[in-house]
Amino acid sequence: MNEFQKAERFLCEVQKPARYTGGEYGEVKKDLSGVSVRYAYGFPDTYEIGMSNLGLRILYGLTNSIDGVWCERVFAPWPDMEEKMRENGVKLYGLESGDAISDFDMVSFSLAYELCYTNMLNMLDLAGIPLLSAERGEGDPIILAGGHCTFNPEPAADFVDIFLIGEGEELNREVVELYRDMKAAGKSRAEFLAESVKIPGVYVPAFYDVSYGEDGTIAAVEAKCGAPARVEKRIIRDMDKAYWPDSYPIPNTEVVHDRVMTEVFRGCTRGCRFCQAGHVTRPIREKSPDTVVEQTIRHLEFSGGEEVSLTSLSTSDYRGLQEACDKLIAYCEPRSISISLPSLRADSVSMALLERVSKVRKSGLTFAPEAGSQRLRDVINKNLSEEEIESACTNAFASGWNSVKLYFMLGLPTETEEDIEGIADLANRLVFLWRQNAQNKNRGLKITVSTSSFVPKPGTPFQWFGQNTKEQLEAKIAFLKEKMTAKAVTYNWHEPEVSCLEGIFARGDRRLGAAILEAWKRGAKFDGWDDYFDYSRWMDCFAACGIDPAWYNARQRGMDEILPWDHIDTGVTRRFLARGWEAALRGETLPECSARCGGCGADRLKGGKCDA
Amino acid sequence: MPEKFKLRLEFEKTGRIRFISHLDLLRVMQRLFKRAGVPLWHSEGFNPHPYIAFGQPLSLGHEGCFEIVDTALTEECTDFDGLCDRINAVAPEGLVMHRAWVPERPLKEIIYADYETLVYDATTEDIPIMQERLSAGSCVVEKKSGKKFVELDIIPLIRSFSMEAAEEGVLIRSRVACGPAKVLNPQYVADGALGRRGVSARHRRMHLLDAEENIFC
Repeated sequence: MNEFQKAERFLCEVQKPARYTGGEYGEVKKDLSGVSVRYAYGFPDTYEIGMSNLGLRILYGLTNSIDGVWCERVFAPWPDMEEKMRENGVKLYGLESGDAISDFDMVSFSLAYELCYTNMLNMLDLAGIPLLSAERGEGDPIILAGGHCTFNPEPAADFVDIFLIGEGEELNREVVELYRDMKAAGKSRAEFLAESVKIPGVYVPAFYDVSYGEDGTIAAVEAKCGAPARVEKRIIRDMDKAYWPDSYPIPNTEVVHDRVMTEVFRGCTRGCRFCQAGHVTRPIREKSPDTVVEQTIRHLEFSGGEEVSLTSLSTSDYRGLQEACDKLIAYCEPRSISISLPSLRADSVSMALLERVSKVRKSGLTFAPEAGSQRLRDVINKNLSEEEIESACTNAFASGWNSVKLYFMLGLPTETEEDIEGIADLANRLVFLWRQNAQNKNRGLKITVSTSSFVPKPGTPFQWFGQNTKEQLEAKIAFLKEKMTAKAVTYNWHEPEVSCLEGIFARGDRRLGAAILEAWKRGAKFDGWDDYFDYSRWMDCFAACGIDPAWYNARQRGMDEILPWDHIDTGVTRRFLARGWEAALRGETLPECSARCGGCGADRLKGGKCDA
Repeated sequence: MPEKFKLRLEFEKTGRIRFISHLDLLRVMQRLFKRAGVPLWHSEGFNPHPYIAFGQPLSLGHEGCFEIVDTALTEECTDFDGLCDRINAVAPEGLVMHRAWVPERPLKEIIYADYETLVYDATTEDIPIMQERLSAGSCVVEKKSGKKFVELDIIPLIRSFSMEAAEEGVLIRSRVACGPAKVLNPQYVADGALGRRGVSARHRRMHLLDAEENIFC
């Protein structure tokens, strides 16, 4: 009896058992006689979140396309399921086979977000795999990790054997193939790890010695065992030639985003200074409209989906958008398939395009001005003017939209009370504009303002900035709440505690591993979920480990300090980031890449010329 | 409005897919028909939706061997086997179309269902007492109703039953109410037979039957 068969007995007693069964259309099953490497694609959050992830669709297909390799999925069981598993001695299993992943060769984790570390540990423990890399030996799976969090891999360095830095379509294949071939040749785990660092993009944290100075900052990071001094992120140079799956598992149960997703480009030309994704995914690389259309139709036909989303960091910047949409509308409209365009910027909203796309189904309008005043928007390099937001909303109201969502951040560098008040002013002005322009006022207006707390991220011009404290952020939320008076405006805010914890890990070093382990031991899991997040438990764990959390999140770093992630090369130079920080303090903006190259350095990864 | 051609399909929901809820099954069917290129009829209006109706909902975790689903197409189906094949080619594991036809009787004529219930918590020695409980004048179980439990006499809802020893426990075959007016979840047959609630058991619905106890079609 395998692990799934044991679990079948109690699956009816847990919530949403379809999370734990596999068996979806598009799932890959392989005959074990032709399989030499068993690989688990681990997603340290629920099935519903993981199955909405485009990276999973791509890398699941990619890994299964490798000869002799069977890749299965594994998600974090919800605590009710975990309890039943532990009670009945059921180990974490791959959804496809139902076999325990502790018997697999490789287990990877997609680390999208700082608060998923404890889930990774909990999954390793449920699988019966030693949590610490140093304690794993021959016969234990190799633990891999990739994803945005790994642009500062250090907080997870104790737990992961190999970090895969950057995009996976080529890198993951090379690493898995190397493992497969070395396993066939009878090589050991240690031999494989030593060989793996020859693949660009591979970071084996055990091969780096970190020493600290008296003030606690890093004195030096030294590579050994043939590992490169700096690990350069991998990218796909030609997006039209990158791997794109023919199929992927279609969930049988409701997930967060059950729609076809097609990336239209990677990277971003905007250079918003707070945005990690916009920096670490550089340089910009576009798919041709024909590729976008072909890949979208391939997935629509395969999945029977009724919605497609053209994704990227700023879809309205996609130069092929008009052409791709024209072709897609011709396909989608007669089939009642709706097209959604997330991440539209107010300054380039083509209302004609939105109008046409929304013929099938009208979704809400969302803008992210990020800051309430022009001054602060200049600091963060969000090149979006008051007039642009207002004219976009005027157009939208005039063409029948009655619902607008606005996203802002609190705690940005140099922020003052006037900047915060500007958020409420903007919302009020939109109410006024709606009254003047709305076609049909009977349906009422709904403006939703959401604020999150700014978390300084590695690899951005704000990577040196001391984050606002929990108390400062709470005071700012209270201040803004007071100012939000219009009836049509709903104000939502994220609790700063979560952002403060993110802030600790985002720029943490390997010494935080002890606190992560301690927190897991004390029951931390699903930290990204309100029902399980426990700030005071985390603070207790930092104290128990002799760690001062404020040193990590609230401290302004010196411009010449060695940062824990300096040996991870995203392509964007530290010099460019430092220039960005200084320009921010002066309130100077940086033009968009296509207007003038800012010299970020990432074009080097693409052979010296990017698509901007 | 396009003409509406009704279609009835007999299918099974067995194996791992038994863990999806009735609501999920509805979504899965919709997606499945769309993938298979079934020309689904859609209602008109602001949010057009296809017509999909099941004979009787199958409880989460229960398998169904001969289930019924009705839908409507925009054109007449001439090749029923071909249609089933096309659907099966793109179906998730465990969801299999057996046959299709144009329905003549309404779904509300389904009155009974046959179940096979494998009771894990029982052995051969328990069979006599289990039989006795289910043959008594009344057998009251605790039925979950929202967050609390209410009492339910299952005897009037059981048409017939038999029991036999099985490898993993005791197998109960029961014919129970499964119509628009009265429904009995076979879990309560297992609970009633063992005289306690929450008995560990696995259920499989074998057939849906009409008032004359003939297989519904």
